[in-house]
Amino acid sequence: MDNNKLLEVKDLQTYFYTEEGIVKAVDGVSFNIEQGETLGVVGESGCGKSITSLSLIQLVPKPRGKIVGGDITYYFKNNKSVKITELSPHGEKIRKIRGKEIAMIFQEPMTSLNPVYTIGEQIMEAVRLHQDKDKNEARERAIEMLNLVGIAAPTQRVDEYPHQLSGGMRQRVMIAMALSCDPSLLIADEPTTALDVTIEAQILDLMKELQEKMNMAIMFITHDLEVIGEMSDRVMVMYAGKIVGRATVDDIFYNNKHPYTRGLLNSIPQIGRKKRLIPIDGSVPSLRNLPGGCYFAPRCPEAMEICTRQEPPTFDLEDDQEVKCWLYQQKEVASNE
Amino acid sequence: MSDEILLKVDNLKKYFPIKKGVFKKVVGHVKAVDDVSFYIKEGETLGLVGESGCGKSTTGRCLLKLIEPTEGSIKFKRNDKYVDILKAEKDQLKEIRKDIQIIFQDPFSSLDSRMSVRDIIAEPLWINKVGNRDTQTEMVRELLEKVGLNGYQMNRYPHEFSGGQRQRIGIARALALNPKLIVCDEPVSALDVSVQAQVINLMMDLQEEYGFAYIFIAHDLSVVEHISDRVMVMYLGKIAEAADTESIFQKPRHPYTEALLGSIPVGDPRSDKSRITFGGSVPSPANPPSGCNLHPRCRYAKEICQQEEPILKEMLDEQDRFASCHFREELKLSGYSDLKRKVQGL
Repeated sequence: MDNNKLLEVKDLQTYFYTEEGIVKAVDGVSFNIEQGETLGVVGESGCGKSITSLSLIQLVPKPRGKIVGGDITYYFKNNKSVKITELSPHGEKIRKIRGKEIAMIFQEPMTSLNPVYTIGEQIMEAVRLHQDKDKNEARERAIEMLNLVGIAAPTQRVDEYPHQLSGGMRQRVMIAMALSCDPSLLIADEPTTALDVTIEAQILDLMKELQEKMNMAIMFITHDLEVIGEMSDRVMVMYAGKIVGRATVDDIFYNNKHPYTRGLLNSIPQIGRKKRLIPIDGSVPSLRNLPGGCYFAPRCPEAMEICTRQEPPTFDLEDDQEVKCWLYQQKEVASNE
Repeated sequence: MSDEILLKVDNLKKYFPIKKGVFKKVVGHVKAVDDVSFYIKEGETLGLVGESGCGKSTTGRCLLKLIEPTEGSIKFKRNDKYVDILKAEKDQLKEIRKDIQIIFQDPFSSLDSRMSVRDIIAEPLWINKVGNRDTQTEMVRELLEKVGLNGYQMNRYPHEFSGGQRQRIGIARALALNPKLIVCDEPVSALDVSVQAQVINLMMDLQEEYGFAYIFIAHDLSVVEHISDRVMVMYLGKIAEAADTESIFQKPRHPYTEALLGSIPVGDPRSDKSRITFGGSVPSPANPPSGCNLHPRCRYAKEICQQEEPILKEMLDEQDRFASCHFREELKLSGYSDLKRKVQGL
């Protein structure tokens, strides 16, 4: 067994039961996260990246959303493991994992903080829930965490309310709260999307620094490929509820295989390169009305006849890449021989 | 693009009063736009960048007089004469507004959900009494095709379209009156990456065909670099630097521009970037710092910066380049390519 494994997701399916039918938000997604690494997840709106992350800690929006299949296994530091998919979303056990083992930060720090409690009280809540600390100790921990995330005058700030802080500060508070119990995995769902570039740079630097200090893994979800390039070790690309490609960050940028990944990279303007952008035709399909065969086929410049008929399986390529695209069928056969 | 100046803004100010107490006493002002002067040439794209709260959107809205500016003048070229938008009579303003249109950020709230696409695009036409109902319908059909939609979609309602398509509808509406200037307030920030590229290409193609000018307000620096001829960097209601795009990105002359460039995520995993980041965040525009408003965050700040406010001046050695920094002539600042280097041997 691989000792470095922290989380293993196998064939995860999270569906939403709506009046207009079943929406397969996450449809057969498998991946691992290893200790201390950063896994980047990219995709456009509605590709299922956020729902995947919410499934990991049993926070899928109720009552419509439900994990209908697959396994999520979490490995504790003492090599014990737990199947998260078997836990009740309201039970004691998942609450021991949420916040303590797997912490999460969200995109919009203003809506994720409670406006009627001071930031200190909110960090202390997490600390006291998971650690055996009294009020004073918890307060000290909160101040220590605020200091760690670079908030000036933490002894004063700890008694302030969220509205007294700027957007970047609030995101730092979110990070302080998430890290207050030394999680092994931090899920960051578009943590810098709502922030200005200068603040984004500060937060990204902070996350990298803290990751090194605390040796935690990060699952970094974003639509911004430039941020992915900066933050990740490995990347998985999602499209319409499925993983279409997975590779190291270097391969994603320099040796990418899936036409969608390539399309995304060609769509972003690069400074100093005055070339016409090459967009992907059409738009992201609605999950209620998916095309047959490969979901990307109608937009794909390299689509073949088989693509509209049959969904491609995931092909393993050399150099540890996986790609869900018919273009690589031959190549796999060739490399097997 | 010609060298004729289309719009000239002088000393534009917009102060929002801060009111307090039962009698709504004015206790201070938020200086959203504070003494801003610039110009736009015919057919060019002027990018406007800065952090949130720097006054870029307010500036854009003042140009159409959607917000009444506190002071200043906005002169717009009409029939070879410059008319001050702020002093124009009601009828005259209506005429001028035909020439200046706006595209908004959020394609979901900027289209009336109870109007059909035909009515949305035809509204500027019937307000300005252009043609009759039949010719208007024909024009709507043409406009829809111009922006990459189909004429038969005109009887549909906004909710039937995706974000990118709605933004195309917004563009068609802006084009309806054949404007000379389009103010684009974050037109692609709400779109998915792949769709964003489509809309950027469309906007550039249309500009080439019709020759109007854009003011392109955005916070995404790589998008601004791609689309703009000139760029203006704003900080706390003032212009920090203005120059052609290449100079701004490769040879900045203001420390704030350098820090913005240093903050852009690296992207390419094979390159390394020496980060020049900023401490702190944007101060409140209600209570800006003394002297140069950047000095608490600036790594080059000296004593003079705390006391004396720098003025936006043309550089001695370069024409058409403006920077407001006490040390604009001396400082050796790094451009984007200097900051981002390929790591050898990877």
